[in-house]
Amino acid sequence: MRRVSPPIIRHDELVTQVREALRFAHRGLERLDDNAAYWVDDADPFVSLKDKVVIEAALLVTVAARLPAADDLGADLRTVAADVRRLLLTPAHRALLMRYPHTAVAIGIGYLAQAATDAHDPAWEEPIRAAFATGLVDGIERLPYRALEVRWLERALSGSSTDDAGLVDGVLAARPVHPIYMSPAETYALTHAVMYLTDFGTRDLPPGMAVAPLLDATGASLVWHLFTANFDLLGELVLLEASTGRGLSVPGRMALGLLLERKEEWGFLPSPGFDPLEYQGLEATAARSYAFRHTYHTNFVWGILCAVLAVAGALVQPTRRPQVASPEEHRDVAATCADAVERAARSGWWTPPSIAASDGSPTTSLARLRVLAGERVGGVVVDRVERAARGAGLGMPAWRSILLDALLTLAARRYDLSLLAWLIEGQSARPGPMTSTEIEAVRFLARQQLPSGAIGAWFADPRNEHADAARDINAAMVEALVRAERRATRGAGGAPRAA
Amino acid sequence: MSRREALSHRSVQRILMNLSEAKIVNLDASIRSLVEPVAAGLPDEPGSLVGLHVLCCNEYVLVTGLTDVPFRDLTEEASRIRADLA
Repeated sequence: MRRVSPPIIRHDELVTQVREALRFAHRGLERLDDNAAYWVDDADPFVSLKDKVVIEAALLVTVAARLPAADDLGADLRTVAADVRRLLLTPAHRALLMRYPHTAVAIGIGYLAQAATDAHDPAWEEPIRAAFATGLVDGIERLPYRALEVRWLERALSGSSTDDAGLVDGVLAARPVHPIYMSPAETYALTHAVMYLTDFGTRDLPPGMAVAPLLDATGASLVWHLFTANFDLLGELVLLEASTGRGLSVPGRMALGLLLERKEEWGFLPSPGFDPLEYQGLEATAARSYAFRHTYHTNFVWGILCAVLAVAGALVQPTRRPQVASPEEHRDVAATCADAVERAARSGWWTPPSIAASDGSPTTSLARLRVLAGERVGGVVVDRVERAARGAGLGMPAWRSILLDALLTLAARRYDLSLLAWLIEGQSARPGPMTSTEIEAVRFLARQQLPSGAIGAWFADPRNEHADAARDINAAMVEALVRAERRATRGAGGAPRAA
Repeated sequence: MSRREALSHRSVQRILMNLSEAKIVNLDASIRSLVEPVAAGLPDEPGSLVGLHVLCCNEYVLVTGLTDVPFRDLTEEASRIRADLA
């Protein structure tokens, strides 16, 4: 396998992908009324699902319009902008804006697509700006990343330099997070905050924002979603990396390769909710509606991603080296393990001599990890991710590390503490620093300790403490923590404690 | 079924849906919308055994985020889907 990852998509290929996304958008918007007739849509009283599709298309136009004129996307951009105008800048939407000024955000993104294609219209621009100027646009409660969207739009519409400083502290992207704990909604929030903060890769993140933990969480999330094959989130996570201007990570390049492979083979990227069996059972027009409903978002995201990659040049930057935990993090997790082990011993759940003086456990082989992953997520999925790893030029150690991180995340998310402990133990003899996911997995295991010293949510019911297997279960968990402490101490540059 | 017999997530899902249809439990619309599409994708095999009994099927899917990715079915349907999107 190659050690250096070349750019996997050339500029002209990226432009082709953007053009295809714009044409996909045009075909979808042309038939939007027919398609939307099949959609159940009662979630938002102000912005219908149909409007959301149009707004996403407007976003695609706005970002794609940043590509140089030489890329010759002008006609496609103007076509989709005209579709947006027909569907979103209507008398009904004007009435909505007059009655509810906060809808200036949704409608304003539609207008942004007009401005991006030089179709300025004061009749729309003035009321939208007025909603911002009066502050009425902020007259509803929004999630923090949605508040960033408002500021982003305000800057884009007015060219002003409003700063996000007061808003950054509230967003998830500014906090320590890990896919062990995150639902798709959190991942979505993480990615969108960065898109708005960086104006899709054209400005730096705010100076006070800790970028390293953010990129750690992004890399770990990419690893996880390579195995869930959530193409929506994979596209958005790569977009996050591309927007920060620090190059793509190894899993970021793998995700890009996987998305491109699927797009080339299928001709579209399905959203996570696309159920081929449900689709099979639909008659012609309903099937067409279903197909667009369950592909539009992922394909628009793909188009936006390709545009950002082409503009920001993330693919010509070197691949970011895998970020490993700092010596301080190693020391911190070693101390956490030591505390947990001591509490377990004090409570009688574990007796120190039960563990061998040496590290003992042989390092889990790549072949064994591969079999485990195949059993849990399916061999087909593992094959595809492995192919993406090869495509990104990964060597065996890097592929092993990705597989291990994915399994650690899976074990914690499934609350399969036996697997988690076994995986942690299988790393104890490995040299070198731990990845952020290894650190977080060990912390997760240590956090499962109850005040009684027992480890695992089973023992929240005290009756389980008297079960036959209770002592063996606890011994297995504690021994994993003993070995994790040694590994972390070595990773921090210190000498492991004697058993 | 003996008390010690393990349940797969698919089994839990079936029980949940039967209880709902018999109106013994009330799955509200949001939970139902999660449980129903997930059902077809859940493997019915030892690898999907419930690891912790407090996690019922729908919570399990929320927690793991993993369902079978329908690569094969999508590949079989790809040409019809492409035609629908054209």
